Amino acid sequence: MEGKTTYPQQATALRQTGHVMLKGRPCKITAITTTTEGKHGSSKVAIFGVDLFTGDKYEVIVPSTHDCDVPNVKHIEYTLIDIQDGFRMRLMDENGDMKEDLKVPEGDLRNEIQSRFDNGDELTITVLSACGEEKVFAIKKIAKKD
Amino acid sequence: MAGLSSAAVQLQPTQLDGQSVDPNLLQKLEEASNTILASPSADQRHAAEQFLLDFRKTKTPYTICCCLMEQTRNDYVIFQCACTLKEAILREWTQQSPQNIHTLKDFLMQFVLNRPSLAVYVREEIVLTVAVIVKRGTLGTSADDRNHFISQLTKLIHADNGAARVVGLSTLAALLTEYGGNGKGTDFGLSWEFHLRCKKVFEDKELLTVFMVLLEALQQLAGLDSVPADWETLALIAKLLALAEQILTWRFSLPLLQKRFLSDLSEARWNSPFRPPNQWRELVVGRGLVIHLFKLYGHVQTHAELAHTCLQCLLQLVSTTGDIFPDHKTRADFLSPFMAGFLHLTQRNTLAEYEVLGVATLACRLLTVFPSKHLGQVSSEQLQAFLTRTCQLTCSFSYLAMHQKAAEEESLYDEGLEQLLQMWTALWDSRDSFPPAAQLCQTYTPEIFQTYLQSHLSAADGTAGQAGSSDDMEEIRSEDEDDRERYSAQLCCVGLLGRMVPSHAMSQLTRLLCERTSQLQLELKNSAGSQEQMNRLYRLYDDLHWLLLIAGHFLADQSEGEVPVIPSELMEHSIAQSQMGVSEVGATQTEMVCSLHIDRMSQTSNDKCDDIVRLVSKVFKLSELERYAVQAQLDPLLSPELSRDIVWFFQRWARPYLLMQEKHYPQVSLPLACAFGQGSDSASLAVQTLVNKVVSNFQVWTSEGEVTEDTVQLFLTLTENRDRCLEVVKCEKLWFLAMQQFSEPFVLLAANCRRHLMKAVLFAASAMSAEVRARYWTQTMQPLHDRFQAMAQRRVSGGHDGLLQVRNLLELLCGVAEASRVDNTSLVFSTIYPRLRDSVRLLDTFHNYPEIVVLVLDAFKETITRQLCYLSQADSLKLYEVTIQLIQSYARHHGRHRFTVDASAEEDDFNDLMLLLEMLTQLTNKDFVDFGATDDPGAGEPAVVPADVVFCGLDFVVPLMNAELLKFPSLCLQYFKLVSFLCEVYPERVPQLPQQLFSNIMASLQLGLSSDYGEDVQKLCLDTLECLAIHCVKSESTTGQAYIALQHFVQVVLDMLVLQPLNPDLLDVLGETFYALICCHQAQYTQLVHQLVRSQTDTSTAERLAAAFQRLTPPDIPLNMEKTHRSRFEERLQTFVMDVRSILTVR
Repeated sequence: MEGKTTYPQQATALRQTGHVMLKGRPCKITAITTTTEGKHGSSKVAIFGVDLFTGDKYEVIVPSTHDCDVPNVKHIEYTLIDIQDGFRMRLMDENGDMKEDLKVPEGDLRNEIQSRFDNGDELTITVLSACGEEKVFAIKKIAKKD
Repeated sequence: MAGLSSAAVQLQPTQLDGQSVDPNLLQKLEEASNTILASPSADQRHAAEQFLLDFRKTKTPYTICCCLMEQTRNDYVIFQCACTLKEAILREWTQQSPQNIHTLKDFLMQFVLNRPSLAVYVREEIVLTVAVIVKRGTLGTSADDRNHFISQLTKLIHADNGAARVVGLSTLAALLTEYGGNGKGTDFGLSWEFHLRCKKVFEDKELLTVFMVLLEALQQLAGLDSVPADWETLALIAKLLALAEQILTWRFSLPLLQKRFLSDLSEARWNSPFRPPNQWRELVVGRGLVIHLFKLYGHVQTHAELAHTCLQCLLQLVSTTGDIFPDHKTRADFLSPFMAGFLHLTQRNTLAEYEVLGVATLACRLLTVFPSKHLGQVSSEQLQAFLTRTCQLTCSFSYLAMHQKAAEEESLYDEGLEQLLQMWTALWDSRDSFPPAAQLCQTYTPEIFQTYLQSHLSAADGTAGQAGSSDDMEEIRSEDEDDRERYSAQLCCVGLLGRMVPSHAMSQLTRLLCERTSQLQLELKNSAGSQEQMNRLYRLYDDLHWLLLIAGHFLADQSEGEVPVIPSELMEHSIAQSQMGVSEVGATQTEMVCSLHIDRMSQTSNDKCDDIVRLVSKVFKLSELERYAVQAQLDPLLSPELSRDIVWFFQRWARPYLLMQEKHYPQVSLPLACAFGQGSDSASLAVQTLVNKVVSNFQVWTSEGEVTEDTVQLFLTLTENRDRCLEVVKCEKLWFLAMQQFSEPFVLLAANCRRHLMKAVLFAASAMSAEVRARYWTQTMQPLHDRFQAMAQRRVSGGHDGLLQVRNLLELLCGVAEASRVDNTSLVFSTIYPRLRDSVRLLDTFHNYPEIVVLVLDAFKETITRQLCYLSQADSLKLYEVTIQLIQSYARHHGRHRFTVDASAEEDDFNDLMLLLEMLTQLTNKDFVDFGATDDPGAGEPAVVPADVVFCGLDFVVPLMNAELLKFPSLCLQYFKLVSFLCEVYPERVPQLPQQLFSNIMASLQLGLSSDYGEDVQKLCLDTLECLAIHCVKSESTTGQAYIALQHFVQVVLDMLVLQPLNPDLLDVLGETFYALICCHQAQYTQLVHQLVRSQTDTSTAERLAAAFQRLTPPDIPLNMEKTHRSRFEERLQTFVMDVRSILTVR
C-alpha cells in the first residue's frame, strides 16, 4: 500500500464507471443521478454503488459541492504458478516476487480458473485491491501450452 | 329453433370407437372440477388437470358431452365439455356429416338459451364454439345456412328477453372475432388462405347485415328518454358498444393493400381508419349512426367504462375514409352531426376525468381528419360554435392541468390539453387552404394563451397554486421531471399559438417579465434570507421560469440540422410594426443597448421600440440582474433552475436572431436587423454580455451540472457560427476561458462540460486572423501538451493522482477531437496526432482501468469520425498506423478469451468494445467519402489502407462477439453494422479472410437472422448476404469459402419468406437477398423447390406450390444480376409470398 487509501473528489466529478466510498465501504458506482432540493434549490447527487468485495448495494445522497472519498483502487496482474491444496494460489508479479495469500475465489470464477489451470493454460490473474482488501478481479489466458 | 334435447343429437351414437363410457365419468369430472376450483395442493391440482386434459382429447365426444352438459349443474364441467366439443369438431370436421354438425350447433344454441343463469365464461365459451362451427363451414355450406343463422340471432337481439339478447350479441361478437382474422381468433389448424377466404365471404355478405342489426338496436336505445340503470340493461349496452367497436375497427380486405394484408394475420398493430366499401354509404352516413351514438353517450356518460367504449366508437367513426364519400359535400354532411353531437356532449359544466382525453381527441380529430380545404363546406355558425366550445375546453383543461398536478403524476388534463392545442395549431396551419382559419384562430387564441400563462403564474396575475411554500422546498425532485422535457409538446404548441397573435402575446410576456424582474430586484436589494422571503422568492423564480420557457418557445423553434430561422409570423409582425411607424430603429437600438448596461437598466421603456427586441431586452435585464446579484454574493438566494432557463432562452433565441442572416428572408424588418443584425453595435455588445455570462456561470454554478451544461451549450452556439464567433473573439474573457482550463473552477466542472468547453474554445479559433490564431492555439494547447509529456516521462503506474490526471487529460483530448471541422483539420490533426501516440502508451499503462481504456478509445473514435475524411493521404497513413498500434495494444491486454460475462454485467461494461466497433465502422467510411488531398499523384498505392486497419481489428473483435454479448442490443447492432459495411465496401476482401475468422462471421449472420435481435439486425444480416452473393455472381466464383457458405443461406432466406412469421417491412430486403442468393446457387434453389413441393401430402397443394414457383422464376427468364430482371423479380415476389403463404401458413 503506498500513500493514502482514499482521496477526496467533488461529487459532481464522480463518474458512472468510477469508484467511491459509501458508508465506509469501497464501492463501484453503478448509477449517479442529480436531484434538487425543491425546484429552485441547489442540486444534490444521488450515488448508487455496489461494494467491491461483498457485493452489498448502497445509496447515498450528498450535496453536489460535497467532497466524496474515492478509494485508491489498484489492479495488479500476477501469473498463476500453482494451486496448492486445491485452493491456495501461488502468484508471481512482474518483478518475480511471489504472493501466496490469496485463495481461489468462489463461484464460476473458481471453476474457470481450475479447469483452465488443469488444461495447462498459462493464466494471468488480475487482483483488485482497495482499502487493504483484495480479490481476484479477472483472469486472462496468455497462451495455451501445446 | 326446434326444441332439442340430447336425445336428438344423433352424432354417430353407436360408433364410440370401442371406447366404453365410464359410467362414473360425470362424477369424476365434477370432482376434478371442484378440486381445481378449491385451491388444491400441487399434486391434487396436477392429477385433476391431467384428468381434464385427457377428457379434452376424447374422440367423437359429441354424444357424451351433450349428455354431460344436460345432466350436470357444474358450470366448470359444462365449460370443459364446450372446449372438448370445439377442439373435436375442428379435428374431426371432415368425418362428420353436415346434418350432425347442424344438430350440434342447434343444440349448443338452445342449451345456452335455456340456461340464462350460466356463468359468463361458460356462456362465452359455448357461443365461441358455435361461432367456430359456423366459420369452419363457411366455404362448404351455402350462404342460406348462414343467413338463416344470422336471422335467428337477429330475432334473439330483438326479443323481449334480456338474456336472449345478450346471447345473440355475444354470438355475433364471437363471429366477428373469428372472421376478423386479426390474430385473435381460434387456432383452426388450417391454411391462411382458408381464413382469408372466409373473411372475404363474411365481409361481403353478413357483415353488413350484422351492422344493420346493430344500427337498429342502437337506434332503439338512443330513442329512449332515459335508460334504466339496472345491471341487465347496462350489460346489454356494453355488449352492443363492444360489437360496434369491433365493426368500426374492422379491416376490410382491399386488393390494393397487399402489404397491409400480409401483416393482417400476424396481428393488428394499430387501429387503421374505418374504410368501409361504398355499399355501406347509406348506413354509415345516411341513417343517423352518429346521432344515435351521441345520444347513447348521453345515456352512459356516468359509467366510466361504457363512456370510454362509446367514445372509442365515435373516434373510430370520425376517421371514416375511402370510397364511401363520393364528394366533399357528403363528407361535410357527415361531419356536421359530429360537431352538433360534440357541442351537445360538452354542454355540461364539467366533464368527468375519464372523459377528458377522449373528448379532446375527438375535437382534434374532427379538424385534422377532415381535409381542411373543404372546411368551408361546414356552416360557419356551426364551426364557430364548435371553436367557441373547444376554446372553453382548452382554457379549462389548461387550468385543471396545473391544479390537478399535486394529486397525480401524469394528469389526464395534460394529455387532453395537448390534443386540443394540437387542434389549434392544425387549424392555423390550414389557413392557406382555408383562409378563414387565420381569423378564427386569432379570435380564440388570445384567451387560450392568456389562460395558459395565468395557470402557470402565482396569484396576483395568475392562478397557479400557492404551494410554492416551504413544504415544496423539502421535496427532492429527480431530473427526469425537467419541465422543459416534460412539457415540450405543450410548450411548442403554446409558442405557436402565441405567434398567431404576436402583439398580444408579446405585450403579456414583456409586461410580466418586467414586473417579476423588478420584484426580484427589490427582494434581492432587501435580502433578509427569512423563510418568508424565500417563499416569495421561490414563487418569483417559478413565475420567471415559466415566462422564460414560454417566451423561448414563442420566439424560436428548436432546429436540428436545419438553418434556424425567425418564425415568419414574427418577422411579418415586426415589419408591419415598423412600416406603420409603431416602432422605430433608433428607439429600438436604444432599448437594446440600455438592457445591456446595468446602470441604464432603470430607464423607462421606449414606446417606439420593436416588440421582439423589447421582449428580448427584458431577458437581458433579468440576466444582468442575476449576474450582479452573484457579484454581490447573493448566490445562496438565487435559483439554479432560473439560471438554466436564462442561458437556455439565450441559446434558443441566439441561433436564429443574433447576427441574423438577412439572405434567409424575403423581407427583413429594419429595427430587428439594426438591433440584432450584422454590423450592429448592440449585437456585438450582446455577444460580449453573453460571454461574460458564460464565465460567470462557470464560476458560480460550478457544482450545478445542469446549469454548466446549458451554459456550455450557449457558448457552443456562439462559437460554432462564424458570424457570432467573429464577435466572440473580440472578448477578452475568451482568452481567459481558453487558458484557464487547468485551474479552478474549470477543473471542477463535470467531465462532459469540460469536453464541450474545449470544443467551443477551439471553434473560436476559426474566426481569428492566422497570426492570432497560431498564438491562441499554442497557448490553449500548451498546458495539455506539457501535461501529456510529463505523464509520458513519469511513466505513472496506477497511483491515483496519475489516474485522475490521465482521465482529465483524455477527456480534454476528446474535446479537441470533437472540435474537428473541415476548416481546421490540419491544425487539429497536428495537435492531436502526437497525443494519440501518447494515449496508446497510456492504454498500455492503464489497461486494467476500464474508464481510461474507454476514454482512449473514445478519443480515437472521435478523431476518426470527424477527421479521417478530410485528411491528406500522408496524414491518413499516420492515423492508420497509430490505430493499428492501439488495436494491438488493446488486444494484447484484453486477450483473445475474455472471461465469460458475469450475469450482473450491463451494457455499460462493454463500452470499450462498443467504441472499438464504432471506430472500425467509421474507418470504412474513408472508402465512401474522402475529401482529403493526395499529396503526390505519382505515389502509387499507399502502404496501408483503411481495410488493413479494419481487418486487423476484426481479427480481434469477431471471436469476442459470442451469443452472450450479442444479447446487448446496441452492441449487437453495431457489430452487424460493421460486418455489413465491410461486405459492402470490401466484398472482394471478405471472402479472402482466414477460414476461422470467416466462418465465425458467417455463424454470427446465422445467429443474427434466427435470433430475436430485431428488425434492424435482420436487415443488416440480409444486406451482408446480398453483398457477398452479388460478389460471387459477378466474379463467377463457384469455389471459395464465400460461395460454399452462402449455399446454406438459400434455405434460411426461403424459410423466412414463406414459412416463418413474416415482418412485412423486411419483405423488400428479403426479396433482394433471396434473388442474389438464388442467382448464386441456382442448383440449390431448384433442389429446395423440389423438396418443398414433394413434402406436401396433398397433391393439389403440391401442384399449386409448384405453379407458384414457376411463376416466380419462369424457366425462360435467366437468373442474373441485370437490373430489369432484378426489379421484375421483386414485383413477382410479392404475389408469390401472398400465394405460398396462404397455402402453407396454418392457423
